[in-house]
Amino acid sequence: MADEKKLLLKIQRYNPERDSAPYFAPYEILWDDQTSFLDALQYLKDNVCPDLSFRSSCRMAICGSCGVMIDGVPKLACKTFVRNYPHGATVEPLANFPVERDLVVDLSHFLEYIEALKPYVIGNTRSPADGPNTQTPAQLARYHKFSMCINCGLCYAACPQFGLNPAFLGPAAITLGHRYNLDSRDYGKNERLRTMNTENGVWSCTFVGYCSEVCPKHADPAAALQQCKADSALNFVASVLKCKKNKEVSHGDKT
Amino acid sequence: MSNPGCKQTNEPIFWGLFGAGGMFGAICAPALILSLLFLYPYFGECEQAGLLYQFFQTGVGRLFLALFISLTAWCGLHRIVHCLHDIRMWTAGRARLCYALATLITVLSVMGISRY
Repeated sequence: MADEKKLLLKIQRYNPERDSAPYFAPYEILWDDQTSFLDALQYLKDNVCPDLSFRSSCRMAICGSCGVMIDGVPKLACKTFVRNYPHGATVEPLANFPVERDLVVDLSHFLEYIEALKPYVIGNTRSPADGPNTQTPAQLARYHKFSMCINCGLCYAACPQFGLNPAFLGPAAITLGHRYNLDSRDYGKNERLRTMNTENGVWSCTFVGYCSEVCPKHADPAAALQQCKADSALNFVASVLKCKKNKEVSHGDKT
Repeated sequence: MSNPGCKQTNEPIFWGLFGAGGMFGAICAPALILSLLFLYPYFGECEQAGLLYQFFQTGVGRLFLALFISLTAWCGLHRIVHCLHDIRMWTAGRARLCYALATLITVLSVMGISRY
């Protein structure tokens, strides 16, 4: 650490028991070329402000816990290096989510939306006795990209439509649902489409595309949403032909 | 209990018209602008009825014009509906007004091609 340098980070602090509103506090950190923002936050927690709250776990962009806004852009703190911000940076909690404390946000809406889209295999009656459910490489390739999602929530922080309408199911949840819609082992597409077809489903998306830009795993949620729109439109035509339109779905309200 | 958030939305209709208009406009608008605004005199249209004039007199030409005008109107007005939503402006009735205007343009374009 012979080449350690100093850098100023402005971190948003907020303790709802003490502060009336969030504020920025300046902190000086020591860094070298290996220092990530997560390292910097951990350094501050260990040495400067033990009450600083943030989420983290794996430190290798797998768990998706350490999402924060760095200079206003949603990033994983563990995957973003301080060396790319030589003039300092601001660190804020993920946008579009309620802040619980400091850099910790309330993700319960997001988790509920993921649950609503049933991201698991439905309707496959095979048993272990039937042997493995094989897939061709082409069948895998249809959904492989969308299965990269780590539920970090960066796409929700980037999505202006989720910011305007928190009832929007959002990019990651729809991408996960679509991943199973494309899976050859799954038979639950129509079940998921009932949730996706609603106003707060895929149709709130206006294809801004920023979600795909900020996705740390390149899962391309914007592409998943557009493919879902095509599926939903076909389903709409089928529903009209079967006179099922406007029939309320049996799922609970997600607003 | 009925909940609008759980109902299938009509958006696929407008999204379909928006997509069709966007595609139609992107393919045909540059060709129309080039031919009608820049190359028109060179087609010999000034002296006598030329290729373009003759084309727009045919059934296919008229249908093309009506589709071009109406679909691009649907595309633009659907975009305006979403832009107004994004800037939180004019929340009540913006969709009805814009789609009514697009319907009016469609009717006028169909009337236009069937009269002349």
